[in-house]
Amino acid sequence: MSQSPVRLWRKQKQDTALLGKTGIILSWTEISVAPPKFASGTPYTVVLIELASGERTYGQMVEFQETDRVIGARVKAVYRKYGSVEKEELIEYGIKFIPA
Amino acid sequence: MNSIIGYYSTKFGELWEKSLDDLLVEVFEGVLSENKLEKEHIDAVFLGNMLGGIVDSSLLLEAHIAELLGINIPVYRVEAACASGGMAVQMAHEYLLAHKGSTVIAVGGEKMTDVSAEHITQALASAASPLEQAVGLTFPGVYALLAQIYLKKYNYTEEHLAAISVKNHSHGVLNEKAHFRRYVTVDDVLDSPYIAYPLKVLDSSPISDGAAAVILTNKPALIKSSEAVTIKASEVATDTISLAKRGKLDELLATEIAGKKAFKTSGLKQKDIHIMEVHDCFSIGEILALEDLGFWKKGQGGSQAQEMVTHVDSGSHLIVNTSGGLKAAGHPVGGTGIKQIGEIYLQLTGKAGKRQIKITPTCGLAHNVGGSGGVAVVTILST
Repeated sequence: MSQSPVRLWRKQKQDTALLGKTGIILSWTEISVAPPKFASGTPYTVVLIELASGERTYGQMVEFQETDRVIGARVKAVYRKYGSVEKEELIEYGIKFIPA
Repeated sequence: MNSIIGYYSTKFGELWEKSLDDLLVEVFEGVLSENKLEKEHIDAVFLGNMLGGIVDSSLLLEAHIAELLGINIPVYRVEAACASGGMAVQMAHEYLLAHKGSTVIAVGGEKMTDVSAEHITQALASAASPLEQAVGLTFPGVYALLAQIYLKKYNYTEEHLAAISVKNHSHGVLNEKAHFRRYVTVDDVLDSPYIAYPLKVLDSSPISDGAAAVILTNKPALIKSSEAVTIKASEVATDTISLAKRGKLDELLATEIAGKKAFKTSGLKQKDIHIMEVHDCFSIGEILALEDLGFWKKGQGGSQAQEMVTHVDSGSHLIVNTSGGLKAAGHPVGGTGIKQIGEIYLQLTGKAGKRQIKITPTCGLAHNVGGSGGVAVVTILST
């Protein structure tokens, strides 16, 4: 499905508010079967995070060792590319998490 | 009193020769002819379907149905993801409460095998929140997050989850309309590939085609002349679409609320229920369902599952998912909720054939979930 530039623009305004924030992994999963947009990246890890503010959010987790990917571990929000796009489509960026 | 007087289902599975329209026509005509009724006896149709607009580019299914069946009565299409079927019955029930002397059909169906696994994964993920979809969380992925929390909090393993699939596959062997009619072992489940860790292929309900229909009426003469079961309660509850917005992550609150309402409305208690169909879209789903509906204490589900206390041969007074559940019977998402209620109907009327439970059941419950618990429908039926 092609990305609506306006939808991405709205989303990225929210994403920037999370940059650099840290939180705790509440749960994680490793996705092996994914929609077409994410299929070339499988398997990839998605974490459910509780930020220090108590707010919860999700993102993919990258640049980690197995020992970092555990419930209770601390992670930090960074900006990374999300999914694959056709050559005429906007490249999507969003929040991912790395070990803190 | 509203009653269900008939049930018909297609076989569930990879039905390559049949379109969504074919499946819906088959169950509509099947349920009428089995009950010796004509379409002229029907006042309205409630149609549960999730993916017609995405997979088939088919919206305005109301008019598809009108054209296929040659009818001009009201047709209401209901979309509540995997709870579309249960919700169709719920709305049919509400319609009958408002319309005395009426007879309606609740039908649900889905055509899922026309597209690739990646595309159906994307279509099903449309029942997740926008952020969940944006980060690549699939539908199994959302349940996997719940499963991880449950296993960690209550100190269980993937082996405890596997027992649910083993039980439901052994029930499915007895169901001639089930997608899968073969036994699996705990080792088979544990050795199957991961879809979304810790959930594996054999923890997951399959991608199925299929449809099912029930006839509901409040006409006393028709109830008297039919093999009827009474709808004691049909209740819906909702919750946030996002997992991240929920207070507790080891339960589905919508199930808990709908269940409590259904028991209150019916005046029945858990001990009165002999037969249940619960929403085991993934193995963890059945464990959460039994806990959230008040049959097992929170946190005990893992060990109860491993002991297979709800297996048809367990000798228990409560048997769960005799159809094979979503896991073995198959999960054509719009059809599942109708099939669950239909299975309870068959058990209560003694028409479940080889999978008829040993005790004579008087009350049964069907539990249908949409999304990761954003909607739950609980229906209680009695003889």
